[in-house]
Amino acid sequence: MFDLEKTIKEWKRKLRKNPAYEDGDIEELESHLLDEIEHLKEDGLSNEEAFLKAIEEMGELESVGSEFYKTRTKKNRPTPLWQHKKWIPILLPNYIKIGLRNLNHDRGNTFINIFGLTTALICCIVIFTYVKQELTFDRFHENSDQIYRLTFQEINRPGARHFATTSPPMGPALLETYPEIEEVVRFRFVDSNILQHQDQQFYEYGVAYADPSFLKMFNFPLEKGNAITALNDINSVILTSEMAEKYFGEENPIGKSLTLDNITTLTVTGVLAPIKQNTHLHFDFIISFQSFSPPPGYPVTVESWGWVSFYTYVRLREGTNPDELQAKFKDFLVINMGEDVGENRILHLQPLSEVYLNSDLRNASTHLLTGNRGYIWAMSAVAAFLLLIACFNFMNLSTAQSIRRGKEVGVRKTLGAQRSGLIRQFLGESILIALLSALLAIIFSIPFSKFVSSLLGMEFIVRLEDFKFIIPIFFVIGLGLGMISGLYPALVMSAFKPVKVLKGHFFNKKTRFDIRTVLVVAQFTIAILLIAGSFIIRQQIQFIQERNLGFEQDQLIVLHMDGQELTRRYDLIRQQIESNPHVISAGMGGGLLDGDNGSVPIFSRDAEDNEGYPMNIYGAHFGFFETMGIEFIQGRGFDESYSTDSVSGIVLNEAAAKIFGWENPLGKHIQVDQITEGQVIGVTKNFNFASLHREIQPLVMFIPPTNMENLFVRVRAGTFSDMLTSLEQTWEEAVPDFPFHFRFLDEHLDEMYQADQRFFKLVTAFTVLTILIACLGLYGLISHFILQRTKEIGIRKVLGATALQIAFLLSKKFILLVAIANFIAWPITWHLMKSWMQNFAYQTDTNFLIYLLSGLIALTVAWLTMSYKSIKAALINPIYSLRNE
Amino acid sequence: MIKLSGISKYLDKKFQRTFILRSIDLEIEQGEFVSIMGPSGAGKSTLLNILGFLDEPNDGEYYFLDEPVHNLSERQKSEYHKSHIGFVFQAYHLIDELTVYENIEMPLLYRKVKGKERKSLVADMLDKFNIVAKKDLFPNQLSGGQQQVVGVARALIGNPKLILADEPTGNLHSEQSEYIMQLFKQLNQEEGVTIIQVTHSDAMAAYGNRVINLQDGAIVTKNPY
Repeated sequence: MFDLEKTIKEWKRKLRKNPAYEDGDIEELESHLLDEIEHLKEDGLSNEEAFLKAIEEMGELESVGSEFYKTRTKKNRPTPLWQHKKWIPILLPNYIKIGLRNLNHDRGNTFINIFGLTTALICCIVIFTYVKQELTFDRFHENSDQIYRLTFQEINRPGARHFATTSPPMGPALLETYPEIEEVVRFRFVDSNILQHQDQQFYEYGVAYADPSFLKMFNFPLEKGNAITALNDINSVILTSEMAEKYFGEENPIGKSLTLDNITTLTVTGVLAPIKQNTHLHFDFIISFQSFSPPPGYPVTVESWGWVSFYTYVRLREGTNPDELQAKFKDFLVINMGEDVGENRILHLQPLSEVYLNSDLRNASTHLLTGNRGYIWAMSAVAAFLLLIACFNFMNLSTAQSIRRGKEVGVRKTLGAQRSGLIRQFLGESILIALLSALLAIIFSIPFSKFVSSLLGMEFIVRLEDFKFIIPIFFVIGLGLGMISGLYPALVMSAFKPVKVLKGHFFNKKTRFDIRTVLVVAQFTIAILLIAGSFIIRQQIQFIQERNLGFEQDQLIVLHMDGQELTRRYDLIRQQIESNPHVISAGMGGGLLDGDNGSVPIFSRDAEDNEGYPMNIYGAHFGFFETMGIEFIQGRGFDESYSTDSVSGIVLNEAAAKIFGWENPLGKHIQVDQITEGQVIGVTKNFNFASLHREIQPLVMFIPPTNMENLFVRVRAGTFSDMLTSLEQTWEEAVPDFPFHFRFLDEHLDEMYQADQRFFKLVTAFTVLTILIACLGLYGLISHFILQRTKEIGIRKVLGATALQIAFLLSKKFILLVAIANFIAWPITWHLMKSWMQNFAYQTDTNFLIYLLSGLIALTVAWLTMSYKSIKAALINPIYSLRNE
Repeated sequence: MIKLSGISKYLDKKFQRTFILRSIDLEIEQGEFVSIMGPSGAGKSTLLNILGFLDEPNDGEYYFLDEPVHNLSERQKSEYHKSHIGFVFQAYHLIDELTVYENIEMPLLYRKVKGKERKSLVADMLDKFNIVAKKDLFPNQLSGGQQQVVGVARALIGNPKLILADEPTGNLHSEQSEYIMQLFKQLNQEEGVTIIQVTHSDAMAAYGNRVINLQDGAIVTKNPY
């Protein structure tokens, strides 16, 4: 007897042996088979016949198995058909669809959000690369964490200074004393030199002397020449590749000679490869240190412990604790410089990585590049502000938009959505926007950075190689931004109670204090802060530039002549220059009145104590005071008619006279360290011989035994080009053997405030951006606000309100918010600006009007932003606004 | 299926307690078609919301399929929303950004139904309600009646045991209303779906097989109209 059940069991057992079938398949086949048999039996077949026929119809077992296998491999599904794929949440396509359609539906909002975030992120990338560049100076040297610069600090006395320099014997002596120190490099700049190769002759300002180990300690690879021996011999020089091209063109410079100041012949022993990394060491030529000798007339030698004018770098042995080593330096100072110095000076080890940003040390910025930590902070803050404002826009607009999405939330909840799922959905949307913005920002940052760089004359350029940092960081930031700005709206929206939102009730109307209000106030606080800040910075810079320096800086040309020749031939050259019809007068002076001139102890027998006061010294010659227009309080300037002036005439400034406390300083004795001594012949009014960032210091002026290289020439007002050609002619007649090299003093002095100028430009640029983004946000917000109140506007109009009243009604709240922002922004600005102004010894008075004006600007811009929308809303015919529903 | 005992809902305002529902006792069996009637403010919608787990009573006990609702977690409630309860709203509440097809499909997404099956289920629904031609339109391209049909289709696609309808015909004209009610009746009779609707209209209530009259938050036997 045919047993159907048994036969099927047998059949199933066979199937199980076939590897193509999986558990579900056999059951499927079985049920199919049973169906089939049922069918056939209805047609009148017996069990056995039906079974056989059904099996036949199903096909060969082998082929059925391979069919199963094929469908599986073709679809390549790791999970069986009846389970859904876990790695793509089933709702994801739905979320994406809705998200994108919403973005498209509300294009205005989408634009504001993406534009705002992208702009802010671009600024962040640009600032980020700038900050990164500033913070990573000198990190490229091998063992850069073992390299330190010696700094020398005075203590225990008023006006104590901290030098970035030490004296020339210091380095070698340290190397000999302490085994922890592996290498020492002394580095010394010279103000300017004339370099000559055949008939090519130029003034160079980037000439430095350095010990042979320079190329070993710092990673400046040589393109040509031997790095180990390049600086070993006297009068050998290495130069940068640009300089090699300037002097030698295509020729190979190695072994060729360069003449220094018409006297010394230098041999080129190396050409540096182009320096691409950032380093504070900024030079064009390096001459072997052996060749260095003090300028003529200087009462010092390279063995003088008191000559604090040399940058000294040391490299410590691996594993050396710099603090422990530094602690030992006290004994070193006592042994080498005496008990007094040991007690009153500290020798520091300043890590190389900190050198660039510590610009406040004395001598730190002469010739070396310095950065400014304050500006880095300020820029980072501005970037953060921008991001914050863009985020606030995002949060504001998303929550405002939630009215439209409320229904969706309600429906989803009744369909069984959980809050966590909704939060994920909304967060996902904002992350999507943020990532999109990050992507756009990365794409646009290169052209934008080029634009900003050219605008500001600063190195801001984002390079392609920066992207290996930028891309991961910005995707993380994008993700973070999306989270931050999306979290609040997501929390708010996901918390909607379906009962309420589906009935059209959104927020508890009683609460007037909602987060949007706070965010708008915060945005405008930042905007007003920046507006007022940029006004004040501008005012201060103007104030500095227009300030009476104590001398006439206009129509003043400085002619430069290197070496001793100007001093030697002064009378003749001056006479000839003054004979030029364009020239009023001329006088020789030391520095360009652009900074410290070095200070030395000044003694006087007529002072109450014979302690030396450290004072700045300045060399001046006959005609200098007259040419500069410096006024005298007492006495007179240097004069040819007094034969003693050139030997013992001393002129003080008011500040110096005040230090000595003399009522009548004329005739008092002054000794300028070991340089000179004499009697006071005059006291000048205080004039600015250094940056206005610092108070005017005491100054002692005399005709120095050393040489001076600058001739200050006062010219008549008129066409500059005519005057210059004429002056050049005169110069060539007077000194045919020196190139005509001139500078306008006012331009030169303005360079001291370049950093401030840039800061101003930057702040202004970012202020504009901030206002733009904030206003875009406001625009979006008021659009929603109006949309919400369309009905109310209609009803009011029907009841007889005028368009103006309605426009006012709509913008009233926001205007109030901006007004509140003013009151928050003012004190903060005042405080911030006060601390910024501490940078200047001379500060402009900030008028309250500036604050008022900034507030007014913010208000006007905000009002203009809103007026378009609100007036438009107010003009709508109420028929339309009341029609719906 | 549903058992309410002593359900109360009230608002406390300073010294006054305003009752929305006063100790409601109610039992509804599977397969009933119940209409809740009563004047505005009688608590009809609140009662419906409580029945649908969208609102919680201040007092009393609610058993849904012998499960105590007051002890359910949010997650469990969501599970019931997914599998047991379908909502139909007066204002339809279709999602504007989704097409008819996508609106109907949405409950299936929450139930994690796989793609092929979703397709055939949605197609069935479209067929059943004669809206195949409209599947790619957005809600604002449909008339109110059509939107409500989509709303009903969406409520039904999850194959719920219970449909809660809050004035499903409130925004429709009479012809459309009749159509929707016919649909409900058919569902109730042929597929045994329990339906509870809130309505103002005797005509609509007549489609059901039981009327609950509410007045001032309490069940009254007499028709208050």
